[in-house]
Amino acid sequence: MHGRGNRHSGNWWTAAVFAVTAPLLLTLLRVLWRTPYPISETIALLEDVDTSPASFFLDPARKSWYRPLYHLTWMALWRGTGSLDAALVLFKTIELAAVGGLIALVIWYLRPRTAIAAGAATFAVAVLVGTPGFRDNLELPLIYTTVGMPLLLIVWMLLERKERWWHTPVILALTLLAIGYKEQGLVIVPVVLVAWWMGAPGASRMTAAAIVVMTAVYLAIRLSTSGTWPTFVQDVGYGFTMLSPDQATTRFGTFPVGMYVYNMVATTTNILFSEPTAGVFTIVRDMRDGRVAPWEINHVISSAALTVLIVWWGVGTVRANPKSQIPNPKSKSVGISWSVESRVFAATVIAVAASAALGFNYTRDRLGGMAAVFYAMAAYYAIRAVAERLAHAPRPTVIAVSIGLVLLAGAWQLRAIGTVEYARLTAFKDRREWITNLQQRRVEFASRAAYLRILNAMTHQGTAPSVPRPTALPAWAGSLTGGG
Amino acid sequence: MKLAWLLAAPAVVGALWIASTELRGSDAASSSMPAFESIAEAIRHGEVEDAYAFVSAGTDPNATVPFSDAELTASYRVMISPLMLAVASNKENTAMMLLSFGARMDLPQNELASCLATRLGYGDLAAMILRDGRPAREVRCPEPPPDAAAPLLAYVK
Repeated sequence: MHGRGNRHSGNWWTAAVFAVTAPLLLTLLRVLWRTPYPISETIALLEDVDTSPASFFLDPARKSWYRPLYHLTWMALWRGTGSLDAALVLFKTIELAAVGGLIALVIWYLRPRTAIAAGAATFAVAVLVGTPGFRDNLELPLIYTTVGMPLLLIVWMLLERKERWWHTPVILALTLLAIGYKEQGLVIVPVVLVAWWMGAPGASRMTAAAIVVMTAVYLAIRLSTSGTWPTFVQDVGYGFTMLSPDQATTRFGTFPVGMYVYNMVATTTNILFSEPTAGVFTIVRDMRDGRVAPWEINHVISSAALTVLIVWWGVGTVRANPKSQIPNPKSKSVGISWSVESRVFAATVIAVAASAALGFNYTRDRLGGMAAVFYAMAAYYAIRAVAERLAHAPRPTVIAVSIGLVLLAGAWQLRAIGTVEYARLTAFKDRREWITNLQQRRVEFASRAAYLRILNAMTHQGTAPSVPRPTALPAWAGSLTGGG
Repeated sequence: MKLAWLLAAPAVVGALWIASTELRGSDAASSSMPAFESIAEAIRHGEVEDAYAFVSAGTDPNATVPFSDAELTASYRVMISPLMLAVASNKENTAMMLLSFGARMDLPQNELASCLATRLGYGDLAAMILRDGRPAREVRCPEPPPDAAAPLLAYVK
């Protein structure tokens, strides 16, 4: 299916990609497993779970964000097991299953059947792990989008398989699950619709209609309870600085649409060019101040180069779709028989646009998580297309392009390593926060018995000596990977 | 086939790199030996994790330790609590750790910690000790002359 070889060779090359990727995947999972839950965010979150009824989290009017299934998962794990320790372990298991499952699913979906396709698949994994959207979603316990990312890919795999009666209810359930963890899950909806419009074999009219109805009902409920939301709910990046919600309201409150557009553009360019971060042009600022790090340059150049390649491949693959002599009964675009690759390209564009739209109020790297899944798959097809074209190219062209591809693959591999180092650094910081801030928390929350009880119960996991620490890299290596 | 290898080569090198760093990290983490000879050394010259390694291994955070310094004690050897030493060394993280893991402000060896921090010009540290240390009673700070040599000597018993 994805490559030009046969099924048998596909198994071998898929296994080879798993083998090459295994150290990255297993190390990342090991680091995440040994990462403590941070003292900030976690304790207050668990206090809410401990002291609130389920209806508290189901109320859509409570806050501007709505993540009922995330909180109910905590509640079910804690109350179901009767043990906070067990709940912590099980919740971390969900994170690991989501991260590991996503990487495994990407490889499984691509199933390379040639050597070149296998090389491209290893590149795609590095792209996935190296994107800001993936990296920023590794933060415990805020794994809202981390759960949604593999669900999006499962939905896509169902859409690309032959239609079955159970596809529609499963797709609806997975979409609801993703949305219930975080509303970035809504990215799945336009992806399903574009798959249906472009004639994906598993995307029926029933599926499209059902997901539209479900989304309309959901949005009606959400928007009908939004009367008291503030104009800005989080710090927003603007230019070279961050603005608090109050500052942003003072500055843009009379015309917030302009700032909303800025946030959407910032999310888009973060996904495609790795800049800005949270709306702040940190790399441009560092260049202006003469203190730009090699890893920053690597992030921007590798993202820009890959985005250009993806656009080249995507436009080419869309143009290559033949005007069918026999109209495709599944395709809603009259006379065109869309290829799998052109559907992936369209889904990538839609996922980027939808992620940006959902980040209108404020932007963060993690908001690009859903789009990162398609960005990585598009990277696979783009790199494979370049490599396959070289088979018939003149020798000087082969040499020049090969060098470019190796440099690009190396650049993204550095980013993937940087993600592992970032995860290690996060774990180290979390432990330091536990070691130093415990007493401050005891004093600050002295009147909240549940908070103190959870704080004391979690101290052991927060201060364990087995917590990962950043690798002691030479300065040049650290400046290249950028995660530590 | 050559091109395929070129594409996969960075991933193979990256895999080897990651595996080796993880194995080296595991070896370092599995070693429970503190990096310093004493908690005093760890406080003076290490990170907060180095001092915490002693506390988590059973060192009493209130037990006094010998200390001398050319500037702070005019090279006299004094017995000083880890908290006072952290303050004298302007190690805010370490002071916060010690308060979190058993340092008691009602003990004589610790009760002048905020006074010492104020005297040395560490206002934030002094405020943190008063806020998080929750001293049981108000202490009267000694008032050595502002230009006194060895300022720490006025604050240790």
